[in-house]
Parts: sequence; C-alpha cells; structure tokens
Amino acid sequence: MLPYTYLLLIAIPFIGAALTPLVGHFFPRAKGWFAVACAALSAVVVVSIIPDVWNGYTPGYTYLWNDAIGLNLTFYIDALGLLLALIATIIGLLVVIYSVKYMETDEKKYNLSRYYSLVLLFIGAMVCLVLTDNLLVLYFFWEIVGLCSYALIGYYYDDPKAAKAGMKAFVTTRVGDAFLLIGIIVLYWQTKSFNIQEIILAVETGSISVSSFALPGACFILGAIGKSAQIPLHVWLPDAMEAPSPISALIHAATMVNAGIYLILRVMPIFIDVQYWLLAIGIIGGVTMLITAIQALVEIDLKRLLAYSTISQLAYLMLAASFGVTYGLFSSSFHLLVHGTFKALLFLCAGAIIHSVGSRSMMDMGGLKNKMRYTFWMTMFGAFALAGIFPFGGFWSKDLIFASALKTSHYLFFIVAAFTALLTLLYTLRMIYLVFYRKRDDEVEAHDPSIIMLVPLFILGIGALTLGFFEHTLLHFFTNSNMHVEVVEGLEYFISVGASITIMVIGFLIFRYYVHNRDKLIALSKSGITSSLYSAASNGFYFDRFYLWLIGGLLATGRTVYHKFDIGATDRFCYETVAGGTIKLGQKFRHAQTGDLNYNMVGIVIGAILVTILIFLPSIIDFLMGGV
Amino acid sequence: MTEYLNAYTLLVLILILIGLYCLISKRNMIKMIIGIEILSKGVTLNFIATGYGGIAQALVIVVIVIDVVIVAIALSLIVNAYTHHGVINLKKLKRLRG
Repeated sequence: MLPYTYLLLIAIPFIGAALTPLVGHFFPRAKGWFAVACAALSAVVVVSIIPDVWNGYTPGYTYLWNDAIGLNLTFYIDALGLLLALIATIIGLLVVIYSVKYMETDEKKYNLSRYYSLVLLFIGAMVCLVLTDNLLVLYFFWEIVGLCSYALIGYYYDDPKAAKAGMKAFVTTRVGDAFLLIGIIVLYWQTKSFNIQEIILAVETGSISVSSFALPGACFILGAIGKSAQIPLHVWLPDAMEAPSPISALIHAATMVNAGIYLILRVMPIFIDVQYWLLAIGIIGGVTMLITAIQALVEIDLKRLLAYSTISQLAYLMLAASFGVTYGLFSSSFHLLVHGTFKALLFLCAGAIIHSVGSRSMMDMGGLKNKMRYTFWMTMFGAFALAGIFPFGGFWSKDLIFASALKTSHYLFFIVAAFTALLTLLYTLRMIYLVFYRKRDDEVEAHDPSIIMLVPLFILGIGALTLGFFEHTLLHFFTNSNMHVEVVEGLEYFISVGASITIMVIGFLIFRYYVHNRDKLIALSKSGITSSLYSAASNGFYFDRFYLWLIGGLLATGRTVYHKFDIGATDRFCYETVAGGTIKLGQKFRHAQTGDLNYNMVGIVIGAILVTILIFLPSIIDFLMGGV
Repeated sequence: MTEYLNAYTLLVLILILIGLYCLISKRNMIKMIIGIEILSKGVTLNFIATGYGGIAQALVIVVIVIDVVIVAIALSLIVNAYTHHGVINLKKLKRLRG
C-alpha cells in the first residue's frame, strides 16, 4: 500500500475533476490525456492495495469528522470493496482512453471538459462508495454517482430525448435512494451506529435483536433495486442509453449499476436472519432476469438490447446474492467481475459500430463482419462471455451460480436461471447475426475504429476470455478478508456444467431454425396470440405506461388540489379578502386627503383643541363643581 | 385653574390664536410662515412665563434656533416653488395634490 493511500484515493480523482476544466481552458487538446493520467493514477493507488488484502489485512482508517453523530470518514478495505474499486478504476481508465478518440468529434459543440470532469468525479465517488464503512458517507457518494449518471445521460443537453432520459433516471433512482436513506436512519435508530462492521459485529455477537430489522431491510432492498435497475424500478436503464457509449459502458454496465448489488452483499450479514429477506432478493432477481431477457429478444436498438441484457445479468447477481453468505456472496461477486468486464467490452464495441454506421438500430446494420474485423472479434468475445460459452468468463461464473442454487436447494431459482441462460444465448446470437452476418441488399459503410479505441477493446477482450480461470485467486482474496465463503464443487458443479452444455446445444439448434425461417417467424410475430406477446415484450411489458398512468394520476390530483385549495381558497382569501379589503377601505378614506393646507390646518387646530380639552377635563370639571 | 389666568397667559393665548388664524386663512406661503413664527413665539413666551430656572431658558434657546432652521428651510422651499411654478399661492399649487 502506498503511503497516504486514503488521502490519494479521494484526492486524485476529485482534484482531477476540478482541474479538468482549467486544463481544458489552457490546453484544449490535452484535457483528454489529463483525464487519462488522473484515472491511471487512481488505478495505481487502488492496485497498490492488492498485496495487503492478499496477505490477509483489511486496511482501515477513520478520519473523525463529526463523532458526536457518528458521521466519520471511515475506510474499511476488504476483498469485496477492493474488487469493485478495481473494476471502477481499471474499466474507468480504459473507458477514458477510449473516450479520447470517441468523443473527439463532440469537442466543438459540447465542451468536453464537462465530460471528463464528470467521469473523473464518478470514478472517485465510486471508489469511495465501495471502500467506506460508514453508511452516511456511503449514501453521500451513492448520491454523487447518481448525479454523475444523470448529468452524463443528459450529456447531449440539446437533445430532448437525452434530457428526458436523464430526468427519468434521476427520478426513478431517487425513489430507491429515498428508501435507502430511510433504511439507514432507521438502522441507526435501532443500533446507534452508522459503521457497517460495528453493526455486523453487534448482530453476530447477538447484542442486538434482528427481529426489528424488517423495515430497514426492506428499505435497503428498495434502494438497491433502484440503483441496480431491478423490477419494478428498472425502467430508467434502457432510456439511459441516450448517454454516449463509453458512459453506458462505464456507468450503466460495469460500475454504478453494481452499487446496488454491492450494497446488498455488504449488508447481507446484518439482515441475513431477517425472515424472507433473502427470498425477496431472489424473487426480484428471478422475475427481473426473465422479463428483461424476453424484452432483449425483441429489441432492435443495439444499445437498448445491451441495456436489457445488463438488467438481466444484474438480476443474476441479485439471485446469486439470495443464496446466503457462504455460497451466494462469492458467486455473485465473481459474476459481477466477469459481467462488468464483458459488458463494458460489448458497450465499447457497440459504440465503435454505432460511431461508424451512424445509427443505433440493428436494422441499419448487417454484414459488418468483414468491414470491422477487429471490432467483430472483440464483440464475439464479449458475446460469448455473455452467453456463457466455454471457455469464456461467463461460462464459469454462471456455472458457479447454477451450482450454488443447487447446493442451497433453490431448485426453482435454478430452473429460472437456466431458462434465462437459454434466452441470453438466443438474444446474443440474434444480435451477432443481425449486426455482423445478415445479408443486405445495400452496402453499409463501416470501418474499424482507430488504435486508441481498439486498445481498450483488446484489453477487455482478453479479460472476457481469461477471467473465468481466476476463480480460485479471487476466492483466496475473499477468504483472506474474514469472509466465510466457499465455492461449490462436486456433484452440483457437474450437473451445472451439464446443464450449461445442454443449454448451449439447444440454443444453437433454435438459432439455426431462426436463421433459416426468419421470415416465417417475423410473420408469426404479427399475427394471433404471439403478436400480443410480441407487442407486450417490445413495449417493455407496459411498465412505462403504468408509471405514466400513475404519475399522470398523481399530477391530475395535484392539479385539482392546486385549483381547488390554493387558487380557490388561499389565493381568494389572501388576495381578494385581505388585500382587496384594504384597497377598498383606502379608497373610502381617500376623500379626506384634499391636499388643501388650510383645510388640514383646521383639522390640526380642532385636534389640538380636543387634546387640550381632554387634558384639562379634570380641571374644568373641578372648576365647574367648585363653582357650585 | 385660576392660577394660569394672568397677563402672560393672555398674551400667549392671543399670539397662538393669531398664528392659527393666519395658518388657516392665508393662502400666501410667506404669510403662513409668518403665522408659524407668531405661533411658535407664543409657545416660547409660554415657556418663559411658566417655567423658572435654567432648563426653561435652555429649552427656549433651542426652540428659537429650531425656529430659525424651520424658516430657512421653508423659505428655500418657497423660493424653489416660485422658480418652478412662478407662484407662491397655495391654491394655485394644488395640482401637486397626490
């Protein structure tokens, strides 16, 4: 660990974010590389912590800020936090390098200082979010990453679609955030502590009863599903694809959306004994992965397809988390790492394709295999990892999840996960087919991106290919930082591998049928009962419509209350009765003000005489009485 | 009440009444200022007549000084009104009425 690591963790990205506009002002061409340097330094600092955690330390540090209310900047670095910090900084670095070329064309219209500044702010906030031990500080950085997400989704601020998508993401995640804050406060009220490790210790030693944790537990789940885009708060992520592609790769695939899963994994030891807590997570994950995988099957927008796929894969993490600490925590973290890598790769590849073709619809692509050779291969690497094909990363991490489901006797979840894996394979193959293989009558102009954009793709591609083999290395990290995790071996694992291979074979057979009978299938999707299913899936199963109805109803109610109460009662009383009455009274008295000085003088004299009489009244009465 | 009835009080009453009459009946602003002066001289005389000792005398000196200030300011207003409107008759200045 470097000296001053804790200071550097915060200082480098945040000072970098503050300095980027300044650098951009004096050296407009250098700001991209300045951001690359900052991201690289952050990555170095985070990487320097690896040996400590490997050797079994859990570095911690507390900066006393306001100890009286428990608000301290506390660091607690264990394998889980370090894993997410590594993903955030290393993928962050690759994405910033990619952006230098990708965003070049936007320099004139949109000042790129804003872009790099927000990306650095995001990386710093994400690292602090996962390394802090204090729930309030966590919430603080949780909001900063949400803010960066909002600002970067609406990066093309003159595009109303992008601005609306940013607003939607902000408002939707806000629902979860509000619940998370309630959960944190209720938990503090019950345990008198914001420190996660302290609370875990208190729960494990039994000094606090978990029977009252149902409310904060539910609030933490709601906070997590808002951030990680799980049903029913998943609607913002597909729309968030209005962001530039590198942002989709970094924030909406690899890092920020994992924050919710991270929160669940982090607080799992606290709530694990709360009844139905794990089951609720599992059900949310299971439902989400199925529904969004079906939506991905019918989507024609390349980036939205990947967004649905992200939600579906995040649901795998939720599902895996529901298997408990021993088997769930590690399989979830492992898939988190693998998914972050291959999904960032897929988004960056999609960015390269969209950049070259000029459209996001897969109907405008097709036959790109020979025109974008390197991008094609890298997309294949990412797609195979996503579909879970041997020997790519997704194969190993999904098998671990299947095996954990079997080991912990969650057979229904196993079936759901396996069926979703089949759907995943299908939509991945469909995407590859539509973009790269489909024959077109007309030619699509496309070419490989420049070397600066290809280098991050290659690095992530190698990661997608090889990360699956580092399962036991990662396990060593986890067991060394006081986590009682195990990987499943033996019979359950072999059943899972068998299931994966069966899924692969079935998937390829169905896909073969799809390619040969595509016209027939398209016709089928427009008739009968299948057409209603098709339109339901392509309309996002009407979640958006439901929310519009709900919000429309709320707005209408609000408008009625406004008209009836605010305008009808309050305004009428204040404006018409009070103010109007005063004006009318003034109009009446106005005639007394003649402006004639002599007339006023008479008034003064009369007044003076009256006052004199009043003063001398006792004397006068005395005088008169005395006279008698 | 009878102890107030002496020559001084009578003169004070006469002066105040003259001043008030002047303020009520005259339209000419110069004449009104003379009225104010007569009024205030009545008040001053009342102080001298009823008060004894240093405090009354000190107050009277202050009143006289303030009188002079009032006259100075009022005259400057009148001069300005005359240069702007060419009249010193209050009836003709009534369009200033708010």
